[in-house]
Amino acid sequence: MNARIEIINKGFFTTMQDGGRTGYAAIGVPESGAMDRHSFFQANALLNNTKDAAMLECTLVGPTIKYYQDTYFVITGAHVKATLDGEPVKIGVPTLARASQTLITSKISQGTRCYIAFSGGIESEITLNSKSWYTPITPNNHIRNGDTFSLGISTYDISKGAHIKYKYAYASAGRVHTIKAYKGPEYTSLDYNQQQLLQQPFTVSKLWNRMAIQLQEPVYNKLEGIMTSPVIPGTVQLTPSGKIIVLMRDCQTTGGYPRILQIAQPSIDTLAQLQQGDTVLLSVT
Amino acid sequence: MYNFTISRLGEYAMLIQVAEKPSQDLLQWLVCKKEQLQSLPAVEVVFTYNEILVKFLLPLEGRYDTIRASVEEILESSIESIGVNGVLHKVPVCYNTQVAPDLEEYASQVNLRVDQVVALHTSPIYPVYFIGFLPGFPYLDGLDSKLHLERKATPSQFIQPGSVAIGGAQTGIYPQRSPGGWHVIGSTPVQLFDIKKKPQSLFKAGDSIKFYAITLEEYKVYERKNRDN
Repeated sequence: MNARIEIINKGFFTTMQDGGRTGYAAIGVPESGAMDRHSFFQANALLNNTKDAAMLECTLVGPTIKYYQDTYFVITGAHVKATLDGEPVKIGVPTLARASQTLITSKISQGTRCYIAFSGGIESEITLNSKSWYTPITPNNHIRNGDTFSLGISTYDISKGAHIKYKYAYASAGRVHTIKAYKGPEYTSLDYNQQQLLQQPFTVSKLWNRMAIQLQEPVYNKLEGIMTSPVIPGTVQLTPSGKIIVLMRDCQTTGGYPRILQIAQPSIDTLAQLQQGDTVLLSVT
Repeated sequence: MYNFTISRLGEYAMLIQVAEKPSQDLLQWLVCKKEQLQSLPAVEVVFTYNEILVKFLLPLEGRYDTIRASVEEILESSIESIGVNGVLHKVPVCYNTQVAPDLEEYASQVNLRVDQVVALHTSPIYPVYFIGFLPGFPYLDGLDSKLHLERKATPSQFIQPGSVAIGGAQTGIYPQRSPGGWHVIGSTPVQLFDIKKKPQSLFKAGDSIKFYAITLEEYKVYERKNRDN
């Protein structure tokens, strides 16, 4: 019988994600998948899971989970206070939960999202080639209290997970995060002053979610809209009112705003760990 | 054969831009090139009015020039004149203020009577260029210029599924409930996207759409049938 877990408390916004959904962009379906892919892949590697195995992505406040069988799990990504039946759990270290033990994770700090992975991965329904939750493709976009999930067959006991030393990549609030970006298709339409303005520090606005992160400081814009064109996670759009929008994993497949920059993959992971008030510096190469 | 430029979009994707206005010929070329480009070890190929995005599983670093050469070869090859294998969809639309909240306001803004709006909107056969924005949302071409109207200054928070709308020079149908800035002038009871069906999207690039008007009673009968299914 497969191991099983139950969600006792869902936390603030906890969603099921895997490596993402490919092959359906031509019918308008977003890529989805873990926001911080670096932490996601690390969690699976640590547990000897398949690379894209599904796990929980937790935002701001983590969930409480009850184990029904002995199960190895690991937490990666942002820091979160975690206890297993009262005993502290180390971030980035595979830990054995015994049947009937309860994992409580609470406030997330030094980052925004943490990942809780289970050996064998979560065996949830595959929709269009992926287990990632995204409404309206899947019935829900976040887990609820009382949800139960079966886990796949663990291979952790047979051969331990990758011997990687877990390294936390995101420092605390107050730091300026350098975000590496390439010039986007419409970058050359910007005038010199606009290009200069992109070098100022930007603040993450209150609009930040799995679809997009909007930056606070406007950059004046007289560019016309473009004919609706392809966009992908990491595409940076400049709206007519001068707002900078960085598209994230759940972004739509096409857009009509000028695509001024394209964020480098490792920096998308960094952005996934930011929230309102954090400061970024765009380093355009 | 069209003039094109190729550039990188991030580490994993290649963007092909064609300096050409949308046309039936270009659409046919895009559909054909998409097919051919899928022979590359790409994850997926998507196109819009005049761009093609080729997404790869592995980073392009170190092999960009080789892959770019293969892409150029495909783009420069002649296309088979098999024609786009598109389906003509006849889509019922109820143009009634009960299901089309913006219809009267829209008609007055474009200086037409409601019946004139309906006549102009149902007259063309609209080619489906591509699907984007939302799962199953068709981008159509060929809206009569008398019906063009800038998007709303403030987008609506919720546009109902099935809403037939106009934004600028474009017309389309919202498959799911969504915020949106387009003017809703009608509603179709047809389901555009169903995860349980294959294919999931009713429309695909290369298809075409002809709208026809139905009454509010017919619309309700259709909806009841949908529910019973």
